[in-house]
Amino acid sequence: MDSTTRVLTILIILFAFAAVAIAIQFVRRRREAFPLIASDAYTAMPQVVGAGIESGRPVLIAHNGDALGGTNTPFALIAAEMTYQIAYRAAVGGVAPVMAISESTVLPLAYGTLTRAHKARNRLAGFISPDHVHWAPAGNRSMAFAALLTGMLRTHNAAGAVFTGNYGSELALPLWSATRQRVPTIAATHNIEGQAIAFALADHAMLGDEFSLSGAYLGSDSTALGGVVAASILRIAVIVGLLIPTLYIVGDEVTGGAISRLLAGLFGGGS
Amino acid sequence: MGRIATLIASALAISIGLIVLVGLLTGSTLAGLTGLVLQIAVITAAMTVLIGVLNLLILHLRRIFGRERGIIYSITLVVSFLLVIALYVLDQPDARRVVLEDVAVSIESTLSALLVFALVYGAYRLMRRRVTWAAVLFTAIVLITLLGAVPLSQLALLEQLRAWILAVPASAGARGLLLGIALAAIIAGMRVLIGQERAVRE
Amino acid sequence: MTLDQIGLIAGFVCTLLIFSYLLGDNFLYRLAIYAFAGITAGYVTVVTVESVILPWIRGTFGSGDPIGLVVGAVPLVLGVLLLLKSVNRYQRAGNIALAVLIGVGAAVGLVGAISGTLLPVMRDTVETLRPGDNAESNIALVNGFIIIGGVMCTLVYFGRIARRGPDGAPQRPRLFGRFISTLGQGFVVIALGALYGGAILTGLTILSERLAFIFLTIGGG
Repeated sequence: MDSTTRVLTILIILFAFAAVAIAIQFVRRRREAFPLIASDAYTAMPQVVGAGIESGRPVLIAHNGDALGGTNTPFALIAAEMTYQIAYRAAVGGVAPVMAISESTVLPLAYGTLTRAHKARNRLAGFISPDHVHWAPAGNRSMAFAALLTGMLRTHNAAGAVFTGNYGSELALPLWSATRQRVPTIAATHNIEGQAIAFALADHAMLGDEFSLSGAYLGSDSTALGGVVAASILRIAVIVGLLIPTLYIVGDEVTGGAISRLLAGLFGGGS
Repeated sequence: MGRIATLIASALAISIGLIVLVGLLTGSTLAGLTGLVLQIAVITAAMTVLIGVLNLLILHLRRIFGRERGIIYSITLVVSFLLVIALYVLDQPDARRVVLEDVAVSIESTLSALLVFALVYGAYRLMRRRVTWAAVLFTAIVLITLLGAVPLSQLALLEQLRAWILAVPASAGARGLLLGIALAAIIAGMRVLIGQERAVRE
Repeated sequence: MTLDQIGLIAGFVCTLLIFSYLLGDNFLYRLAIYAFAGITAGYVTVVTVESVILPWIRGTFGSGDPIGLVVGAVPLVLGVLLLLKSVNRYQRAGNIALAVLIGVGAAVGLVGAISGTLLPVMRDTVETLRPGDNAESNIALVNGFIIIGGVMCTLVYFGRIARRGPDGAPQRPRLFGRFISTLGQGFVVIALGALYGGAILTGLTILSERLAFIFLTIGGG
């Protein structure tokens, strides 16, 4: 990492820290001031869980990639939040979701998440989380995992399927299989190729950062909504961060380099 | 007692996160400690593969002995798993090559080939399910991307259009998507460092 | 029959089993994928034990150094604690080990997202406005503006905070915001379409290779 990147990274971290901390406090006081734009996928999610409860069939949550301890840890935590929201709703009907996980580091997190959801509903008695979590390694290009999901959809007679984590084009395989079996699907991947596949093949596809908003849409925790507000602040900062150099370059082009000379005069030209 | 354990876990996540963050960003005296912590995390992550194996064997052996639905698939999975381990323990490199290269690679690449049918079906389904402007635009771009890749002189214009789409509007959209996803990761990571992550907080 | 011939036949049979999925989800296809999952699990286990766990144990416990012993024991203890997450009664003990992984991962992920994605993408985006001094620089400059504008519109489209409409229902902020947001959606859809087309092209290449394998094997080539 070069020194400019290092300094910018530190500044962004400090800015993000302030944005998240302030936004969470603000939302705690005035939650109703931040309504969210309706999301098809998050509207459908409780309906899929509800249909599963009515038919006594589980929802399959398939999480690919995102090892804990690595750079994708934040995405693993985001997926855990979505799992919690689904399991929390499913716990009412006593039909716990079945989880398929390709990263072994996520197994303990999945056990904990399912247990927490059942505990929050006072449904912990007799619930054994490992019975509902299946580890299956991804293999190259995650094909082994994607293929196994096509089998699991049928073996577990899934009422719906939610795909979280890092899927590329291999996502087409379980989505195709789910379509053939008329299983409703929600795809919440953070891989842009996976989002392209989901756009065409999933019943409900989450695009961009939508996969990270389950807590805000489905939960009552102000922290999650605070995160959405903080993300909006950061998004504006990124837009400004793109706009300033753009104006600088355009201004320089129009004025024949006058802005560059002015700035060099003000801050001292490097020679 | 439970509350204390939760507090310890939260404090541990925050402090280790901050140590690693400072170590990575400043390269100061914490860099050595950061390196050790990262190494421990890697080895711990490797240990969890054994938890995964335990999970895999318990679930499938239970299905086999309980004669549950899908028993034949569980037998296939357990046998093939044990076969690979046995070939490693018995040091049979040639037989291992047959299983890992001829069988596994064949299955893997055939599954990749199968994706074409899924993808073509997906594009068809999209237009059949709902004809929105976004679906029409999506399908048009898919067609241009495919036809533009055909090396025919009659399609030279389409080839240029494809190149421009990939270099300009598609590139802009992809950059926007990547920035949005990166912002989501930043917020999620920050929530851990300020002790607001539910996975360690509760 | 040699081992190579057995391998060729096994690969051929497996290829056919997987392609049988085109006729519908069936027993043979599922047999092949469960075998594949088992093989992959075995391979991952062997590689992890052989290349990560054993070298660590040899390097720490095998060194005879007391500090090495302590350091070597830490991941083992953390591994056992993580295993406890599967037991309801001792779940909280597992949180300690989970906290270590989450703490490390959050920091690494944060730095990775900023220095690995955010900053490079922003920098590359702005750089599109510096086309260089060639004959096509004006076209490149226009393209650069489209890219920067597209990225901004896309970011606006991803905005989730709404304003309340006259009926109290949340809606996208104002007419201009809605226009920008729709433009952003257009850019996103174009990107997704291009990626989808690319995925089909990659798949077609692999499909032709697989079909060639089938015909060659049948023909005895």
